[in-house]
Amino acid sequence: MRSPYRGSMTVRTMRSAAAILCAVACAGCDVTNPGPIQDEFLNDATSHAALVAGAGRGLLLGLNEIVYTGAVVSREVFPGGQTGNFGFDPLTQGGALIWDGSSVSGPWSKLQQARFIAEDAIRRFTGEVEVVKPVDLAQAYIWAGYINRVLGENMCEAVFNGGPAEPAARYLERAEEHLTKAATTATGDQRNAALAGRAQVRALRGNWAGASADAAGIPIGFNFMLGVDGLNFDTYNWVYWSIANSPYRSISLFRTWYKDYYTQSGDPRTPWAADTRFPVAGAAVSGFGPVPWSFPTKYKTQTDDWRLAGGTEMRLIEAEALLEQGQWQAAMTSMNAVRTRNVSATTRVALQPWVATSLTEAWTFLKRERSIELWLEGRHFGDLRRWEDRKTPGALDWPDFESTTPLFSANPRARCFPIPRNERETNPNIPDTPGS
Amino acid sequence: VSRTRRLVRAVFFVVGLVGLPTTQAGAQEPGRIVGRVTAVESGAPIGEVQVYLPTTRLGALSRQNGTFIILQVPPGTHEVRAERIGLGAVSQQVTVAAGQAVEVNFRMGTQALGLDEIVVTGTAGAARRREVGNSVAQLEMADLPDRPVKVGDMLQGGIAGINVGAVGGQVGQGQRITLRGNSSVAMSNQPIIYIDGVRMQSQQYPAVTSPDNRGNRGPLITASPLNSINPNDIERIEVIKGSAATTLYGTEASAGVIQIFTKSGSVGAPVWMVETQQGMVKSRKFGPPAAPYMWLDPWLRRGYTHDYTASVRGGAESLRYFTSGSHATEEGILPLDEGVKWAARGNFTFAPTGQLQLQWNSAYVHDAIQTTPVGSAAEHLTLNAFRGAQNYFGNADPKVVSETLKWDMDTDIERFTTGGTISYAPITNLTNRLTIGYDFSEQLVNSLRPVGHFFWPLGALDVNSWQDRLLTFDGVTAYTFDINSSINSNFSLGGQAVGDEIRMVEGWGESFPGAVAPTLSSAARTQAFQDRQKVWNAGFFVQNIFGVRDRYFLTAGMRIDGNSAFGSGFGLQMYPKASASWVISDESFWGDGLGSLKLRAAYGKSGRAPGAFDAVRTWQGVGWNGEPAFAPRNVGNADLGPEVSAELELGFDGSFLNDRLSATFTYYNQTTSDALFRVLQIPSQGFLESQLLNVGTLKNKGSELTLDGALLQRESWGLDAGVNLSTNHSKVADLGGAPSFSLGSGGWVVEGQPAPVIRTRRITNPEAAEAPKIEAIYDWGPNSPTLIVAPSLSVRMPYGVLLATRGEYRGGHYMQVAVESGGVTRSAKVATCFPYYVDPLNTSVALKPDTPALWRARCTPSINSGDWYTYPADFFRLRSVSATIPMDFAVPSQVNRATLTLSLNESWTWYNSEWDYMDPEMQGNNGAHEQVVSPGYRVPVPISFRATLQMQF
Repeated sequence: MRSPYRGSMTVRTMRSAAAILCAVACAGCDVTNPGPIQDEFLNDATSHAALVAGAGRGLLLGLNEIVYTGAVVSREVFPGGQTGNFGFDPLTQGGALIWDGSSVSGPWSKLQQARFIAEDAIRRFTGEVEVVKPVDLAQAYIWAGYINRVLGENMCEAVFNGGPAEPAARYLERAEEHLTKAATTATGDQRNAALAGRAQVRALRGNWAGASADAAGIPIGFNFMLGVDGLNFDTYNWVYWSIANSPYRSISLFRTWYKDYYTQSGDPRTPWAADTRFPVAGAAVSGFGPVPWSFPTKYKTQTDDWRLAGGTEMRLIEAEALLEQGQWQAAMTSMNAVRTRNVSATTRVALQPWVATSLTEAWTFLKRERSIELWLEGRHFGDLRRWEDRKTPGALDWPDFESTTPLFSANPRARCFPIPRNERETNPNIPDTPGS
Repeated sequence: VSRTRRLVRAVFFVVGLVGLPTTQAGAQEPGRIVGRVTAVESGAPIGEVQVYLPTTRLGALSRQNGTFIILQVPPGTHEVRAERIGLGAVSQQVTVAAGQAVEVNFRMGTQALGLDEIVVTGTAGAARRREVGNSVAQLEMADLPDRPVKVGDMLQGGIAGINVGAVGGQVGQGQRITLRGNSSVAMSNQPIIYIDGVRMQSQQYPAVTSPDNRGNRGPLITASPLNSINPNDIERIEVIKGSAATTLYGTEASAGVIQIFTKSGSVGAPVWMVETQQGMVKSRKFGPPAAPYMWLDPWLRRGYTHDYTASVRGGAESLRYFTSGSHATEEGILPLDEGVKWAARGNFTFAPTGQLQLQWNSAYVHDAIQTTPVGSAAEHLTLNAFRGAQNYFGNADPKVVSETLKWDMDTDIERFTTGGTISYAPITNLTNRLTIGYDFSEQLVNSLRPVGHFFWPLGALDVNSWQDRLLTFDGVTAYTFDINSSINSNFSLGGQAVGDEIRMVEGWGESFPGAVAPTLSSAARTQAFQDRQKVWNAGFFVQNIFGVRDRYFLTAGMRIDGNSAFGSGFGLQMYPKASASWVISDESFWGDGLGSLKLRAAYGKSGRAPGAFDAVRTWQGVGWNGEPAFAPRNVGNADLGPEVSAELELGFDGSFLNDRLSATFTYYNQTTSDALFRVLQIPSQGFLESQLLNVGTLKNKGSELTLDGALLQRESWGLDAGVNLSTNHSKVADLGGAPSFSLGSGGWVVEGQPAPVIRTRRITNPEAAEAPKIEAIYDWGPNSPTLIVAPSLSVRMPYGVLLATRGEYRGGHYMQVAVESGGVTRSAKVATCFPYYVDPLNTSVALKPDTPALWRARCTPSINSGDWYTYPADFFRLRSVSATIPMDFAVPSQVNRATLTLSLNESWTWYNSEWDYMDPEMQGNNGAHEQVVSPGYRVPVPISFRATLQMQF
């Protein structure tokens, strides 16, 4: 028989234990961890500038990949054979960009995230938030505009927020809308950035009159730079870092047109160098072997900024607009204004102007001058597609890589970045495989 | 750290005082008890038997030849008791005359089934083995003849259903442990670990890599906290493997529970044990014939190990103690691999009254590890050596590649665990137990590429401090009472709260003035990183065991948990359990000669919590050009809860043929519902990190069989054989609408396939001398073994010499071994392709015309892919061959027991005939944390030889 004393003792003990553990449990499960920020706190005024800056940083992450990958595919550089980190799979080295390859998901994802941040900031600033600084709102529009410009210039198709595939031109429409709103609220350099971006977008959309009008307001010395952050490895200047020998020697100027051009002209816009301690790049290209290593010195540190738009490009847009109208002499004047600003690194005199004798020849010089001026800025890949789409006259300074290895002839140059596997596999509105 | 050290010093100062031998004063001249312990079955002597007088503090351990002597025994009549785990306890009355010796001999019988042994893991409080309806595996340190130096090695093959996989052969590297396969594809499958009732860090330490972009540069070792425990401190290990047994541990226990019990003090005069172990390691071959060591020959070496341990245990009924200290140095097979370890432990038992007992156990370890740069990283030794002239130096000359060794990779690990348990039993049938424990771990990595480093001429330094603090509160009240004359009830109520806080601070500096020893402060450019997260899990449980006539037992229980990582809309999680056991051999119809048999069945649930931030939609603060910036981090899921595993377990424990054969069999069938999947998010929606969702269903089923047989039992000769066999078959039953997803290294989560399955493209004409034909998707099979067989054999010889061997086979699984692919895609000439190159000596990678399609794919840069390197991973490894030799004849008579153990470990391996290179017991850069086992740029576990001399006095 149980003693009443013993029974009550048991109950008291159990109650005590339960009470102690309950207190611990209730107190313990309410945990606040530092670090990540909950979504709703981004509406706070103190977070606005950081949210806008996040869009700019996002553009930097995406642009790093676009510039780097686009340079290989558009033969601004020769692949060093590196795969994996700061490298490309052999197909991309040859020039192909395939939807399930390793070179397309990074640029897509990072630029899509950048676009989301910028447009989410605009959504908050124009809907959920009562007060926002005009400079923050304008900058959000500018980032949204430029990000959409980069997407439209490089991607084969557009996808917004998990929706269906649309023509890539939809990015450019959005870009123009954002930059137009930015231009209406911004002043000074911020307004120049908006107008220069809109000129680029209008040129891409074939609105040459509009592009010329926007470009005309931009001084030739103006540059809108995307800050490269030397304190964060993700935001280094990738073109520099890929050849910094730390330890990557991932690309080379072997066989490129630019290497020969610089050797002949000393044009300071396409400098290169070599290092006798490292005669070959960091790996070897299929079918060819170790690649003789020479490397671009346009970017001298990992903190060199990217140029998003500049007055010199505006002059070239004006020149291209004139060519579209057949006014090739005027176009030559405009493009030579850009060229002759530069002093040869070898002769120490200003570069000689291009001299054209026909519209077709003027187009050749326009394409050449644009590829020199914007070398390794992530623009040549888009230019090739644009000129092909518009069937513009004139020749390209296209280097012969094919004679080195069949890798290049077996992988025709891609024109744009396809929708990658990671978007296809997750987005119910996009077929899992192209054409399915 | 300094505070911890002060505390540790204080603890061991006290330990030292208590551990001092004491003298006894007596009015009469004391006598002594001498005798011998032998086996009932064979008459063979038995060592390690605790022989003591329960009413005094006197006692002794029997030597290897079975003899013992108890000194300073007061004249009079005493009860003398002999005990050893696994043997039936026996006692005798003796009368000791003043100044005289009295002889008492004991004959002890094996309790193969041990139905009345107490087990505590998975039960509320403690229960007799006969009462428990689920399997509880037990490993006795004394049963391991080969003197393993790591706890992971003790477990390897020692228990059916455990998979202890090595990560590689670097010094400090821990093992990956899973029980009954993978119950999760998103969270860790590492069981949680308790030591003396205190939750300790269960996960291996993180693999630290420097933040230089895309680097993987750093020590890349994932040391296991288990290996910080000195095996000599361990009494036994209990393992419960599935949810049917782990219910009472709740939300974090679906991958199983390992509980370690360290030695406690014993009644009697102080018993000292000293041990020295000297060893040597060398590399096994792990490359193809063209490069048996994958070109690492110039750097591989023989390494030497030196271990020294001392302990003392003793005490009286009211205060018992066990203290130990150890020092070990270790050289690895790689040129910079070294380790120095210091460890100390103090376990104290206070029993001021018969009703109250306080147990306080503390341990401290400091492990300093120096590492050679290995792993898939551009500046590391292995990658550059494996790739020959296409490495990052563009030069295969060993002198040049040795530049990778100009790198100081130092890892300092400190662990301190302390815990106190108060047991209060005011009356015979009521027990209360409260445990409070604290477990602290720190891994401090200093990774310095000094000024003059080949790739960092101005130097780079990464300092990473990672700390884990675990706080355990565990209380249970158990009340036993008789419902009537044949039915009794054991009612338990308790609760448990575990707080886990992880803090990481990392600093990076680059560009140093050359003349100073670099610190982060002297760097020209610095960066800092920090992460802190705390998770609390708290729950209550209730359980009742009904016993009928001490042969039928029915257990019902429930645990209810809350967890700070659950989504705000989730609430509490309930885990029910029920089990039954029937000691059928106690029935009257059971013949005496049939042995003992217990049938059992159990069903239960337990869970696995998501991570600290997984439930909340968050953004990450990131810097950009000196300004604050935000980036999307986690989509969030307010309904996020634990994945819940339910398991049915059926089996039996039996001993037959007069206990000469014991058998344990278990069949289990697990279903993990609401399985957590890291579901990829749509990139165009802006959040790139995958989000945990409770969407899937995983299944695991298999069987486990343990057989131990005494094939020969003679006084001088004995032959024992045993085998642990387990099968495991997993299946992703439902993806919940999520698409199949990759876990990397060829591992995929695919509906209807094992979790994970190795899925790659495949060459369909591998043997044909023609262009490869490619199948786009092929599911090879599971990445985890479906069959593990661990046989063991021991021979007892005259003079107490014991020869023992054990091995382990794992099979039925596949691995991707893509190491060579990284070289081929860079047009490097790799060793596995040498038979197919037209000219292996020049730089051309042209292949012979008759090269089979599979090797064309593997050796042609433009079509090479890791997909072509999928292998069946079956292997058998001889884990150890050992000889234990009593050395009593060679030591002074004051030494109670002396044994010399010689062991050759991991010495021979059989691989599947398709296996070309590397070793199945290797891992990628993330070491033990990799979800998919795939050998990476490492070296395999070395062959080792050890000589251990242990003396007791």
